[in-house]
This record gives sequence, C-alpha cells and structure tokens, in this order.
Amino acid sequence: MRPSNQVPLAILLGLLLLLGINLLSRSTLGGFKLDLTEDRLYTLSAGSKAIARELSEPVQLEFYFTRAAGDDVPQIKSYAERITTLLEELVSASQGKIELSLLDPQPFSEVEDQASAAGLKPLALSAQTTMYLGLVGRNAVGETELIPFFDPRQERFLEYEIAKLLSNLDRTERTTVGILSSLPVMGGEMTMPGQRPEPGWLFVKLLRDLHEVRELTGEQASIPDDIDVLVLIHPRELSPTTLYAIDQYALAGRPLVAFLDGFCEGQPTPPGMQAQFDVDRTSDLGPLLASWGVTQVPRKLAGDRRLAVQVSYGGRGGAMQPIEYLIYMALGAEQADQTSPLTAGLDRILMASAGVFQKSSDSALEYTPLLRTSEDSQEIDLSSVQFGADPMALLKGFVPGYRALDLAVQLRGRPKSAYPDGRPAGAEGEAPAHLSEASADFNAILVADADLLADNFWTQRDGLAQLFGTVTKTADNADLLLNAIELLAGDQNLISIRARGRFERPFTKVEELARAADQKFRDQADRLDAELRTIQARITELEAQRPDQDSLYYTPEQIAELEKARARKLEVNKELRAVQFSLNKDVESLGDRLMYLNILAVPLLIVVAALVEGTRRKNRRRAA
Amino acid sequence: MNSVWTIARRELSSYFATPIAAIFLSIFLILAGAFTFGLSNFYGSRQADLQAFFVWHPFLYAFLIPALSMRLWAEERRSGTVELLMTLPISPGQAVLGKFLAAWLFAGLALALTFPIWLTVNYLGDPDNGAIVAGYLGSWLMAGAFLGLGSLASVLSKNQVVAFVLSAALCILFLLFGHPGLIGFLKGWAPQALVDLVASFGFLTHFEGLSKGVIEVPALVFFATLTGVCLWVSRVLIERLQAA
Repeated sequence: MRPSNQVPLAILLGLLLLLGINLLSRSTLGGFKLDLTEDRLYTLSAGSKAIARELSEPVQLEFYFTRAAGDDVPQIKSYAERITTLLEELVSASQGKIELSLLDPQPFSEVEDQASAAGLKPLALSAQTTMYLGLVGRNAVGETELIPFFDPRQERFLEYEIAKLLSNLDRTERTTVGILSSLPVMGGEMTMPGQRPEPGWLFVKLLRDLHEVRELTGEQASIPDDIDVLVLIHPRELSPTTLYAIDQYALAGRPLVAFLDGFCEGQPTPPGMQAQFDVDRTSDLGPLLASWGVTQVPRKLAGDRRLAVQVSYGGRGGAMQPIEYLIYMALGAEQADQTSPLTAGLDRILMASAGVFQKSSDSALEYTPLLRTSEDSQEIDLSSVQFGADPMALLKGFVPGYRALDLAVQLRGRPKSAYPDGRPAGAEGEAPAHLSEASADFNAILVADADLLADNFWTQRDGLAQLFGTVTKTADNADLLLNAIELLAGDQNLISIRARGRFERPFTKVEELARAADQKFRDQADRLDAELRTIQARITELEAQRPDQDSLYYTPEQIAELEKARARKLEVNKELRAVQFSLNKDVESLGDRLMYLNILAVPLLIVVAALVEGTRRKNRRRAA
Repeated sequence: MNSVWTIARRELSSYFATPIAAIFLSIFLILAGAFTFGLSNFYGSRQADLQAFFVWHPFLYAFLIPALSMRLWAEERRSGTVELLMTLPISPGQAVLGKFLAAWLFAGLALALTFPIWLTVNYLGDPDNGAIVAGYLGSWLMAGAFLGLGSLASVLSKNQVVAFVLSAALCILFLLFGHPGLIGFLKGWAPQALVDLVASFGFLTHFEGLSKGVIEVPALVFFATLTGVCLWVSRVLIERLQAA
C-alpha cells in the first residue's frame, strides 16, 4: 500500500471502529454499570425486583417519550434514559411477566393519539413542541394505571412510583379499611327524632372514594380477616378482649395506623364544666404500645415555638389579640421525613395538642420518626392545658429543649405478644390460636394526635362547599392517613422501597454555626424584647397619667421621661438589628476562609516548591 | 513495556525541568477553585456534594489539556528530534503511548492536588464519597480522552501554537456533540439514529453520569475507545513521518 494512502485510510478505519464499537456498546452493554453511590441510588432495590418477580399475571408497560423534543432538553433526555434502563431491569427481574414497549409519540402521529387517549400529560416546551414522558401499565383484565409525566424533580421517588404502579396493577380488590374509633368519625346514630343525624367526618368521605370502609364497634373478639388495614382513632377504655384482638392482629403481621392523642379536644364529654375538666382525654392502648417498643410520654404534650399557630385569645384587658399557641403546630416539609413516600409530599400538617412518642430502650422493632417538631420545642405538662390553656402563660414558660420531638413514627419488626399468658380471662367469642410472637413483620404508623382528623383542622367549609359538597383543604392532614393506608395496604415490598437515598445533603457545619448564632440571637432578642415590653408598658402608663382629667398637657417631668423611654426604644430596636446582622457574619466568614484556602493554598505551595527547586538548580550550576 | 515507562519518565521529568509544570498546575487549581466557589457558588448552595466542582472539568480540560498536549509532538517535529527519537530501539507505538502516559499522569497529578476541596466538603457536611470517587475517576478518564485528541492534533502540526488551536477545536467539538443547537442542525437532514449516535459522542452527558456516582459501561467504553483510536491514528502518522 502506498504510504500516502495509509493515513487517510487509517483515519477512516479509526472512525469506523469508534462508531461501531460505541454503537454496539450502547445497544448491548447499556444496562451494565457500577453504582458507587453510598445509597446505591442507581441500582434496582430488592423490593422492586420482588414485586416484578411476584406478579401474578402478565403486565404490559408502555413507555412514551418524545425523543425529538428530548434533544432540546438534554437533562430530561438523560432522565428518560435512566427510566428506560430501570424499566428494562424490571423486565428482566419479572422473568417474562412484564412486556415493555418503548414508544415515541411524534407530533400528529398515531402514537401521540394513543398517548393522549391513555391520559398522559405532555409538557409544553414551546408553542409548537410538546414532550411526552409517561408510563401506561395494563393488566390482564384490562385495567390501566398511569404515571402521566415523570417529573425530574421527583427523581428520588422514581423507583417507588413505578413499583407502586406494578403493585396496583396486580391488586384486584379494593382495600378494606377497618376503623375502630372512640370519636364519632363515621357520623351519628339517631339523635333526637326530627333532627338530622350527625354527618361523618370529611376524611371518611375521602377514604370511601378509594377504599371500602367498615366501622368496628363494640368489643372485638378478633379483628375480621377481610380487614386489610386497621385504623385506630383515639382508642380508649378498650376491653381486654379488644386489646388482645389488636395484639394478635399485630402479631399476624397485619398493618395498623393508630392516632393516639395526648389530649383529645374533640372527645365527646358529658355536659357540665366539671366533667369537661375531669375527664381523661389521653388515648390508651393498654400494654400494647410497650410491647411494640414505644412509649407515649405520659402527661406531656408537644409544644413548638417555631411552628406555633396564631390563635385569637382574649387575655387580660379583654381585647382579642393574636398570639402563638404553642400546642397548635403547623408542620412543614422540614419536619417531615423526606425519604419516606408517605411524608415527603406533605406540605402542611396541623396538629393540635399532640403527645410525644419515644422509642423504648429495649425496643426490638425498627422505629423511624416520620414527623417531628423543630428543635425550638418543649414537652409541655398536661396540667398547663387540662384546665383551660392560657397561650400567654405557655409562651412565657417556654424553655426550648433543643431536641426534635417525635410526633409520628413508623414501626417495623416482630414484636412479642403483650399477653404472654394467652387470652385474657373473661374474653368472649371465638379466637384463633394464640400467637405469642409475631409470625410476620408488623408494620404500623403511629400519630400522636387524633384531633388533626377533625374537619376544622384541615378543611374550610365555605358557602359553595355547602352547596356542592366540595372540600377546600387548608392542610394535608387527611393525606397523612390516605398515604399511610396506601403504603401499608400495598405490597409489603413497597414499604421497603423508601424514597431512594438522600438527595439532600446539607452543610451540617453551617447548620451548627447557624444554630449557635441563633441561640445567641434568641437570648439577646428575648432580653431586648422583654425590655421593649417594659418600656412600652411604661410609655402607656405615662401617657395615661395626666395631672388631672381635664388637662391636655403633661408635666415637664412626664415629658422628659416619655422622651427617654422612646429614645431607649429606638436604641433597643437598633441593637436587635445589629444582633441579626452578626448572625450571618459567622457563616459568611467561614465561607470566605474556605474559599481562599481552596483556591490559593496548594498553588502557593507549588510556587514555593518551584522557587526552591529553581534556586537549588541555580546554585548547583554555579557550583559546577 | 519497559521502554514505554522510560519514555514516560523522560517526558514527565522534562515537564518539571521548566516552570511549565508549576504554572500549569497553579492555573488549573486556581481556576478550578475560583469557578467552584465563584461561578457555581459552591458555599452558597449549601449542598454537600462536588457537583459544583466537577461541572467545570470538561471546560477546564478543553483549554488546559491542549496546552499540555501541544508539547508532545509539535516541538519534536519542528526541531527534528523525532528522527532522533526513532533511532532509539523503540517502536512508534511505544513512543506515542509513553508520551501520552506522561501527560495523563501529569493530569492525574493536577486532579489529585485538588484534594483540599474534598476535605472541605467533608468538613462542611456528609457527602456521598462514593459518588465523589466516581467523579474523580471519570474526570481522569475524560482527561485521557481529551489528551488523545490533543496528541493527535500535536502530531499533525509542526507548530505548537497550531497544535494548541487544533486540539482546542477538537476538544470543543466533542463538547458540543449533544448540544441542542448542533443536534437541531443535524436533525434537519440526518436520520434520528444517526443523530442519537452523534449525540452519544458528547463528553458532557457521559461525564455527568460518572460524576453522579455511576460508572456506566458505555461511558467507559466511549472514553477508552476514543483515546485508543486517537493514539492509534497518531502512531500511524508517526510511522508515516518516519517513513518519509
């Protein structure tokens, strides 16, 4: 071969090799990867594989992605590739039970019509282009489940959403929810003749839209087999028989949601002031909580200054003033476990006079807090609230504990029976054989408040709503229960697929600094606040005093004192602002120091080393 | 294999014989740090991961690696020492590999000297160190691919400056593959399969996956084959020069 031909030929050959090998690797080796992340974020979890493997009947999956539109948004395109890989891995885990089609709904194509008809929601990228990125699943009986659009911001729930879709397709019956409640959530029985019966609580209506709901009343010898999830709402004064039934239910590995209140405001009480105060408003599950490794701190309620909701309170003086009520707490995303699909989507939960959970020291179960207070919280004694609460007194007596308090927890594991000697005496009716230890994993979600389910804590009824029966949500309280049921009644494997990994890794050092500075600020702010209040009170006092009722003028002494007080007030405000400013300084200066360290430290060392080496060489040359 | 190491060592020590090494390393480190803290506001983001740091590597490499690779061959060609090199009992392939290895190890040194940022992020929070390791490995691999392109450009010219410009152009080209603008241009006349293939040659998406913590085999294959093909073509070119 002539030398002059060799080079272009070589280049051509090289190019072809490059194209060919890469084409091959993309098509065959596409799924192979080494996941080095700490939480194995990009690897299919065992739970998903199990769900795919255990499908009872074949399932068809159609993944729609508008490739052409994806070229305009490379990030979504790579997300689509990740979804495709995940789906393909599920297909191979299913051992043939999942059939996957990858479809490209191009504009004005049949496929696009198909996607739209199935209910997928495209994303409008511009006036002309739309992008589909969704999943349609069909099962053998023709039911469909959808993920209308895969939002890249919800990447951490990708695996969970797809596994849930598969799980829902496989499930053929509606879940039956059994409610055992001491509160009249289901609505009234007959009241006075001529009066309409009490309507049930609104959350029950939401529940009924999705599931079969049955009320369990009276004594229960055993929880019926067809109950898929048992929901306990403010259980109290339950007979040993019923408690035993719940105990055995738990040991059989059947799921439970329990709303255990520290102080239930909605508890129906006999009329009369004395009765109101005397009655015990705390939920009670007998020995069961202890056997599950949990305690509800006795006679304590959770109070939180940061999360406190304002209420109108007529204090001394009579005027209704808005004031923070420490035991009414508005929990936000920061107080919710962001890795659990149950709580991650919740924006606002309003809790009223909630108790506090703690893990028992000898607990053998997994105890995972789902909702907690902020660290600006305190365990408030029940006696401060029991006989009529004074929000101002609670505020004044507030001492932060710097420890987030657990308001909702998830339990998982195999407890032992709370009745080691078997069925308690006096139990009636039939019951299956006694279980002294759990035969399967018990999954439960405990919430330290039952009041939050009441209509007035999470809905707003306006005129239109009365007419049309619609509900305006002011908080996600009901969603807490709905999510819990969905999570627990679903495939057990789903529970194990928690939102994968931590995508949020904050600067804990900065948070420490901020907290320390915040504490310093609060101390000073409290001091200055107190001083402000005193000064204001003095000003008010002075302004109210006049030599005599008819006079319009103050004495010179009074004027002088007033001026002094007002001047001091300005000073105090200035001091408060200065404290706030220095709050941020600590954090910012750390950032600056780190920046200079990173940019200059090693280069300086290099320059020094080079200079040293340079001089050494010069000296050597001179010496030579 | 021994001769490859000898060449690599010789080349590497020539880097440190002049202030070039110090200058290059300092510039790389200062720019990397400045971009991380300044442009991507690493500290302000309050996220304990090094995404703000890794995101700049492709762009830093696109300009700094050509500076490294331009010296590989262009100077030797100009001063005629290539022929001298070839009189030694080594094959062109070994020479190409040896010089590449030296440059690649030097790039690795530059990466290793960014360790303060790793210490910083671990001091500030609890990052996913597995992902960071994958990021560093991916970056080094990508640097190798850039060097392959640079080596090729360097062989093709007698002038270091031309070598620099040519290799920078190649590097930027490979960064642009996958960019919506270029893809849009291609889509007008090429089948989607070809468009996808070209897009898959973009450095950015491959590196993005690596910097997230997943070492995907196609990405590995891509960087490895690109480097290999570039070095192979370089070798053919050197042989041609030798024969001439």
